[in-house]
Amino acid sequence: MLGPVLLIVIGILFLLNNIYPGVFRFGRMWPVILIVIGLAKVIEYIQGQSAANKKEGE
Amino acid sequence: MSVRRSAGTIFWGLTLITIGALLLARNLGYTVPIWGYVARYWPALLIAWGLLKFVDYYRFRSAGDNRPLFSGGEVVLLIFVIFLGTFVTAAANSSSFVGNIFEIGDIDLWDITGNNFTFDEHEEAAVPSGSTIEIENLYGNVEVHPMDSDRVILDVKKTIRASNKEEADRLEKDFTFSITNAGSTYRITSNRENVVQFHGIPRQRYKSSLTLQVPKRATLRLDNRNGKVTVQDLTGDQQVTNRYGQVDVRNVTGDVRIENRNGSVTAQDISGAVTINNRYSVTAVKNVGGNLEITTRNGSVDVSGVKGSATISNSYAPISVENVQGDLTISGRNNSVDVQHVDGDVKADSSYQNVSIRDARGAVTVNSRNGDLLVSLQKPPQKDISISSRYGTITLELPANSAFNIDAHTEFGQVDSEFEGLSIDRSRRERSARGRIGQGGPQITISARNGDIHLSRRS
Amino acid sequence: MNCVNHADVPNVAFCIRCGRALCNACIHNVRGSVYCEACLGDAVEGKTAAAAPPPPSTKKEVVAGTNPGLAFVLGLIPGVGAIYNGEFVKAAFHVVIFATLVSLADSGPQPLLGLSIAAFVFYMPFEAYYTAKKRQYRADGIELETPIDRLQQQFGEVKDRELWGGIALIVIGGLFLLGNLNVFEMARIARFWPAALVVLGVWMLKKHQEKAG
Repeated sequence: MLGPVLLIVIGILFLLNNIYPGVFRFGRMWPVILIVIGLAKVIEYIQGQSAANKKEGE
Repeated sequence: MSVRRSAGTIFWGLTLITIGALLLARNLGYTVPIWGYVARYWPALLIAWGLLKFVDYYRFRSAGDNRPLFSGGEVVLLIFVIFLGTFVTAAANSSSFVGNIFEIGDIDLWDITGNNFTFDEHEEAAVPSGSTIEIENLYGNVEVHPMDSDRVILDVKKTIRASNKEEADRLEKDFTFSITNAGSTYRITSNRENVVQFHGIPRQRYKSSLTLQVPKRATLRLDNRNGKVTVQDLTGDQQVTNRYGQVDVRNVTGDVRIENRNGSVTAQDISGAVTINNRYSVTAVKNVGGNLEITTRNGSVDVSGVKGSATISNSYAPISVENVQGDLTISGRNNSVDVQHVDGDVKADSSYQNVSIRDARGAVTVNSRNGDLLVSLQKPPQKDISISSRYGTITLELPANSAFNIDAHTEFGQVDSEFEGLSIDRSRRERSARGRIGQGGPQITISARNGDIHLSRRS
Repeated sequence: MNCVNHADVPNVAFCIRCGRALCNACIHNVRGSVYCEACLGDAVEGKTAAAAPPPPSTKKEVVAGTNPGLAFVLGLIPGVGAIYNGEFVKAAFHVVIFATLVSLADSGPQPLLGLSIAAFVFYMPFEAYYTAKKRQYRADGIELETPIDRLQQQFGEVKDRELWGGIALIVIGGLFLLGNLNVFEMARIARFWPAALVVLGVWMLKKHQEKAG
């Protein structure tokens, strides 16, 4: 799931960079990518936990 | 086996159809500013790619397919697309007009396709010296030179985008320039202005570059878009408005007023006052006889040689000023300030970058934060100095034979002084250096928080 | 190929059940078929054959292009080692981490930052080398445990690493972003980076305790 989401976020960052060059410089906004990857990892972990819990419950 | 065919096939299919349709439309003569849109909106491709992969993710999951979403080759292709896209955007931005990224100097590479047809037009009129001349143009350069007689000579290079020569000839007949007279004002313009579409055809299919010769004494009111404006060697007040192109005004005896966006402004050797309003590009001024006023942002400012006072307002880009005989006032934000040699008073505000003021001969008032501050005088201070800063180091450098009163204090920082004889208090949370050097003199006040203060002595 | 039990002795045959390469000392010849000791034992005790790995000839093709020595040399260039091993996403991460470290070094002298860069530049070729070696061994059906694996295990199991790695990324990304947006000056916050080492050390100790208990 990480791949497509990351690609979409990178696309949005570059698009904003092109439309509003003064505000959304890519050189400034790139840490958003780190945050998105981190969020994806955390969400994957949570999903893994709930799947494991569901399995135990069955 | 429908899952095997990933959404990628649909994506590439649509992309090819779109590219093919755009190129076909252009070849048939319809102006489609493809490259302008590509240079700007190409990241939408990445977003669409990601969305399709998202769809793949759910399709794979429900079909139990464990294939990785992105194959190795796809990752390489993605990285290549991102690099290419950023290169194209950078190329577009450096020429400051998104649609003209393939213009090199005066050559428009679209001419190679053969769909651009050029025509020349020549107009002349008698215009007395000292008149006010209004010039209006779009999509082209304007060049103004002086001449000795009381005439205006206009040479227009017209470029019309059409599917064939017959259509171009037909369109050109209806696209003309004129020099008209309204009282003491003369107007030079084409019959194309002020309509978004000219005879149902988009305005930008008509490009016109003007080369003008006007009487040496003339007052210009020039309004251009999407092109370079050059004005030189005139006597009289000049006013230039431009967008998406450079402005270059040199050697004018009189006041100059320039307004521009997304294009650099250069003003050099102006005897009177200079007022510049610019954005998103460089502003460079050299040798002004009167006062200077620059209001800009997101573009660096470079000033050298002002006989009057200078007032500069800028943000998110550096300010560099040298040699001002009058007062200097700088209002900055998120930018570095570099000042060298001001005879009058200096007042500067900025943040998040370093500020450096050297060889100020009058009063100095500086406020800054989140950046280091350096004030360095060549001659002993004659007027009061007031410095305040937060989250930055303050360094004040004075000649060894200076005489002054000083009150320097900082919270959460250190104070040290190379001048002996001050009472330094390091005992409390606020550290200070106070006292009198020599017979005393102008009052120096330094107020800092979360930063050190260095008082330095130049021998 | 070399015998699976004697790494420096070339093989003379392959086990007919599991396909492993066997030297003269390890083959067990029964009615014209060659078995390794484990499979012979299983056959005698009536156990069914384990799933056989692919036949040797194709294995050789998979392994070709995986030269650990070359991987090491290429790994000296950020990202190239991982690309050689076909790990494109990891390569991108390596480049990003290297670029971040170098640009951090630009923002002022930081003791130990140069050391971190040097450590990372050493880590990459070793990781590429061991990854290449792992692939080689995997083709033979052996799961190799490399020093890199042991280093990663210090930080807990994969699930934990992913969770805390994710949280760390969010925090670091957030800090950089706020720094870029000039909410605060990066230099002021960057001073506290050794705290991360402290946190890491505490966590490793905790993991060590958990394993022991």
